[in-house]
Amino acid sequence: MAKKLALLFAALAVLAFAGVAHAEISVEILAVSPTDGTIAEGETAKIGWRIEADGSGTYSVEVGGDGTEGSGDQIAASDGSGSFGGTTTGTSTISADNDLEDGDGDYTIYVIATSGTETDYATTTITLDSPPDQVTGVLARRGDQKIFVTWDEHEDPDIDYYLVYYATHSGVDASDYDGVQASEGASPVDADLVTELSLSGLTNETTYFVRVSAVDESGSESPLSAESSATPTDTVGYAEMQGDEGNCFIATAAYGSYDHRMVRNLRELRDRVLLQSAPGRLFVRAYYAASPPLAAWIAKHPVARASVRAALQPVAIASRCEVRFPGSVSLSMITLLGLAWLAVRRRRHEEAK
Amino acid sequence: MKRLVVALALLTILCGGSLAWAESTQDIHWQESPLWGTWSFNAGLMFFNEEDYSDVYGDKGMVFYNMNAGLKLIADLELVGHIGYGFSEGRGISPQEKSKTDEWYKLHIAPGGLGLAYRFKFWLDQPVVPYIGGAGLVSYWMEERMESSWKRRGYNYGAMGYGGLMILLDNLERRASGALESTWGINNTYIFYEYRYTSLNNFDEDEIVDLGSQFHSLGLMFEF
Repeated sequence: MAKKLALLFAALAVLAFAGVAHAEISVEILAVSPTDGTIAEGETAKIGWRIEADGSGTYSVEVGGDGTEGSGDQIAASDGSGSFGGTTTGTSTISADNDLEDGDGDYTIYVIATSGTETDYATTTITLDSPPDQVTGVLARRGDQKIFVTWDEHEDPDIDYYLVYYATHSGVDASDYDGVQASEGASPVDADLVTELSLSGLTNETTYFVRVSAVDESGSESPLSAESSATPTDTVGYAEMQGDEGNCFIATAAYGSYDHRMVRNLRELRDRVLLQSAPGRLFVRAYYAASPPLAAWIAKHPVARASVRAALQPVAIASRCEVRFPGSVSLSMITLLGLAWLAVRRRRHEEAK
Repeated sequence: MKRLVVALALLTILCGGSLAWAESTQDIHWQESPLWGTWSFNAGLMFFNEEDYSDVYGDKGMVFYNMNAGLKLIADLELVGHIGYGFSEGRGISPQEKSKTDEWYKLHIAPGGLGLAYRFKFWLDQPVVPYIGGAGLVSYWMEERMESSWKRRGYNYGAMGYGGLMILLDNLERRASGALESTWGINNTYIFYEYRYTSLNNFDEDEIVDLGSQFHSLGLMFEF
């Protein structure tokens, strides 16, 4: 009897050992937060995992390695290791600063569970992508209706492009820079990979504030640079200082001053609208060729000056509108012509009746 | 300044190269043929008379390159044609504040002229030859604002007077001199310093871009 009992216990022991030895164990990653698995310096990622096992054992969360416990670097957080019994779920915290120490890049995270001689693991990837450092050396300098912004080349080789933020007031955050006036576009302006940008089409004697940021290839944007400012101003070269002002000759003669507001409006129309197209440039050339003698005559005759001023007033105002709101004058003209055509047609229709 | 150094280096190379090449030529002919003309190139600094110019382009002077061709008329009186080019770059001025902005301007000038020159040459192989001259000029000029379509251009006319000293190089290297003459017909080779005063404002017309200047230059002249 005793022998039979001994055999029975022995058989049970073998069965039990075999049962433990062949116990099923599996590890599964349930979720990663943030979902794209990308964090920056100073941030953490959470990994949710589940271990299914018949018995109890221990788990370890490691960075790198080959899936065997201890082959990688166990994460620093207290939830990076522990024990489990049966099916267990848990969350482990990956710290960019403490666990991802080789700089930007992809890190394979192993959740390894061991029960007896059985072991299993699951992996996920956490990407460390730190934003570029702040752009330095930002300097805004004044031009005529424009500012020139320059900055130092960023040392990070992954920089994809720079953004230039601008506004007519000082600011702190990106959202404070709400400039829309520059011909290059609304703030922020993509400066590509160069380290200088001209913002044109600005208003003279208005101060513009700028900051610059760098964006790397993964889309991470650096903090905004220090702020710089400049005030565009009317600028002349030697020719204009000498009196060859490329005059709106007739307008200057009529208004008596090159710096008269209305003359400036007409100059703006010339520089920003007419000189931008071939027909416009042809018109400007023809005007400069033909107008000086007429301007000289107008300048000597007060009645002629008054008449020309009266005639130029709407033109100068329209010039300002066209410069400030491109297309507005053309649109107004088309609308007026359309209305006139409709009126004429209606009148003819009534006369026909 | 850099451009001036390059121009002077070119002159030196041209001069030295010509002499060295000539020296290596075996066919030496010592008998000088009759002189009929000159060709010269000079480069130097042009200082404009107007302060407005200095305000925009600084007071260090424009590097200016010039070429002259002369035809002997009577004895050492020559009919001389001149053509040149120079440019300056500088920052524009805010007329309200009278201070510089960061708009860059570039001024090009390209004068050409015709006049007379007289060389005080009293004997054959005279080592130092003074000369004076004068010419009527027409100059094309263009000022452009960089990174912009803004341009001004025009023509000015005026006159210039000049004087200088030429140093005969042939006395230093007679073999090379003979070779130059037999091969190229160059009787004499000179280096020279020239001072030129130019008035280019349509003879004091108002409100015109005054291109009046003083020009100090060094050059190389071949006498044929």
